[in-house]
Amino acid sequence: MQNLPLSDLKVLELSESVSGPYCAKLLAGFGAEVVKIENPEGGDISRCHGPFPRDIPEPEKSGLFLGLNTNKKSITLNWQTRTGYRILEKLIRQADILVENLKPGIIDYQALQELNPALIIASISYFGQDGPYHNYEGSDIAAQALGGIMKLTGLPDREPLKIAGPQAEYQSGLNAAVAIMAALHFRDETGAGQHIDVSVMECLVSILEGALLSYAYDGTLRQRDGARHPSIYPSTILPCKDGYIHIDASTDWEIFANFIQMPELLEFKPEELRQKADEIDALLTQRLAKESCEEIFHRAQEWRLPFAKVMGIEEFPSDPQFQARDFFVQIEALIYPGAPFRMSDCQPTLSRAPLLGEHNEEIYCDLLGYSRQDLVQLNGMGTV
Amino acid sequence: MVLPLEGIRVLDLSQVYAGPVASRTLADIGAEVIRIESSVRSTRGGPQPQPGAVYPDNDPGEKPYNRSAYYNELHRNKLAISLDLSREQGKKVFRKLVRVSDVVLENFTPRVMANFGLDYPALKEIKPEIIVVSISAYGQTGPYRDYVSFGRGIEAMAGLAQITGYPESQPLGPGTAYADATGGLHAAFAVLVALRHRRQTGKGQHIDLSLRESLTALMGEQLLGHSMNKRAPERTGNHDACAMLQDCYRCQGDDQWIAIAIHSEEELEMLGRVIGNPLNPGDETDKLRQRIETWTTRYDPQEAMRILQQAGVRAGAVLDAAQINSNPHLRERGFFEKVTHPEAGTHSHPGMPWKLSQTPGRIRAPAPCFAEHNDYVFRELLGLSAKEIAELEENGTIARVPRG
Repeated sequence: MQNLPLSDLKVLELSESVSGPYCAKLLAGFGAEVVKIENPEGGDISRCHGPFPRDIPEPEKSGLFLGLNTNKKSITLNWQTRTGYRILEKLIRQADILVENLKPGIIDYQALQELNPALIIASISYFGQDGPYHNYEGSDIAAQALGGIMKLTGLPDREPLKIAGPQAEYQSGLNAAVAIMAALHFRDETGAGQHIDVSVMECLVSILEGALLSYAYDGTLRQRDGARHPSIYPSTILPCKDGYIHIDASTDWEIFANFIQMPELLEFKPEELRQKADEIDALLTQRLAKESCEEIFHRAQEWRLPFAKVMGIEEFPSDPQFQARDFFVQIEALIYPGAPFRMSDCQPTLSRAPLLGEHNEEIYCDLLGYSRQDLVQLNGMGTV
Repeated sequence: MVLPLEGIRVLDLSQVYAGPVASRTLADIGAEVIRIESSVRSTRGGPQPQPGAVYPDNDPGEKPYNRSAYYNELHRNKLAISLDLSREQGKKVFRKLVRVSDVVLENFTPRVMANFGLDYPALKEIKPEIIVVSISAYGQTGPYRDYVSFGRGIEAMAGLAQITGYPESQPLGPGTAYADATGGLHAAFAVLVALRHRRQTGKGQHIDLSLRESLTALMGEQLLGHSMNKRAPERTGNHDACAMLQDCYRCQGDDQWIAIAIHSEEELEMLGRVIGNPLNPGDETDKLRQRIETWTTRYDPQEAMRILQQAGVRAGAVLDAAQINSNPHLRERGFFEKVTHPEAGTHSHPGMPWKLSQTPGRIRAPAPCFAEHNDYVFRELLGLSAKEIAELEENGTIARVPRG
């Protein structure tokens, strides 16, 4: 096996849905042995969420689960029984990292830390381990609402909008992975573990593009404005002949006007562009109606104008850039996104997500020393 | 040792949002991040106020480049020097800095560092164990390698703008620089992995991060769904596939809203009980909205959230920057920190994004003023003489004031 930077580490994943799984997926990608603990009754909730082939729900075929759990092992364990908790303790003693996204208060992380002081525990929750909201019920949209993103997304005369997909959860999983790596550096130096408290809400309010300090400085409250950039105009999405194009003149208004062959635009002064956005959008829309998305995208780039195509993912397989970089990975006839970045000296490989309890024998018998008979018994008790 | 990355030095050549988010993350966990800024294109502007920038009390002051909210929120815990890399003397100083550093972070288009003669192969010659992170729109290779884009273009090219919008609207995309934040955090993760690799093997490496790829990595279920059923995803507004009912509802007050997600029939029943109006899974969406809004419009969003949460309903008030700033939950968790910036004054700043029990971190220093750390870096760190520094200033390689 390839020696990767995290190959010496054992990670226990006591998490489901998106945030914890994405965090552990990143660690698994770089060699950590991730053992995912799933409840014996159906496992990770994301196994019940689609997409499914032909829309027929099947726990081993959920696209959400398959994408988020590559390179991991799965065991089933009802750790909330006495026997189950004793098994969890055994696993904790041998682990380096625990990733959990249970509701705060369900697991006693202090007790686990005492069992293994070198353990790094990352707790991901919607609102954090303490504070008045810590017991609130969360969801991706509730986090995007409280995290300030929704107020800035959508049309001004419509209800605020969430970013599509479970992005709040992905974002917190990514943050947790960074925090774990920080704690790991500390542990590599000192031998000490620690507890990491990641709140989805706090991860989101940390990426509002200066909105919070802007408010503190002079009371500025940015408004949502559809596809338009909050301060730069034009940086927006407009329809063209065969789709939608992201246009951007932020680098140079004059070059933009020349490029788009509308010298009349130069009658608008740069400082009044934002105020007259509706008027200019209308002029541009008229002009763009003759342009094909693909053609104007490349031509703008020749002028070094940061235009972009509004692409649907169905266009990705034939995208020359993705192709040239061999970004997508195929596993058993399905297409997965590849690694989020490339490293010249330790690029990971991708292998499929585990079946529910696929590694029970390996972990219970080979690692923890239970006999096959014990396993049958634990199975009968509903622990495994 | 108090913070995880103490003793690690990062040279930060990055601009706009993605690279700076990466270096902010590394600075927050203890790295010494030195921002290298050109006096001609400092990215924080020159003596003239920048269009769209926000300044304390709406006053750009004499040095607007030290007073921008955008810059000062993003660059806490970092140092800044001025250095012109297009000049030979500037490159010479930069190479000296590379010798005493661990990481170089840049987000130019791929040809820029090569044109400077400072790309990874060149830097590796100077210091074999150096870790270089190159963040770009489309990656260091391929036909689009020299194409330019900001975050919003990336969201378009990654398929996210296409599905972020109302079912009946055009594609809109996120209202914040989401692609940049995602790329920046992935870059920070990559640096930490590379540092551990170096600890184990002694080897440095080059990290090639395409913003578009790092955002596409967060759309796995969309890609897999298409690969299974060959169906293009659609804009579904505020609805998510995992929810029975999910939307954003109007509350009392101007542009005040609450988001509610219902994942099961029990949750729908609870919501119906709170609003005193039974709700059934089979009811029309418009009817449901009407019944829910009849109740929510009687409350301000934070009060509505409190009542709904008491009943166990997944509800979240849609907060703006003012409401976030005064939010009792964030306040009690100590999220905000009072920071005094020498030229921008004392304000409440958003603090650390997560809490580490042993190495908590905090805002140790406000964002640096332009060229604030020239003396420390050139004299103390590199040991340049007063005469050498004067010479560099005279020929414009380093400056005290940015021109643009």
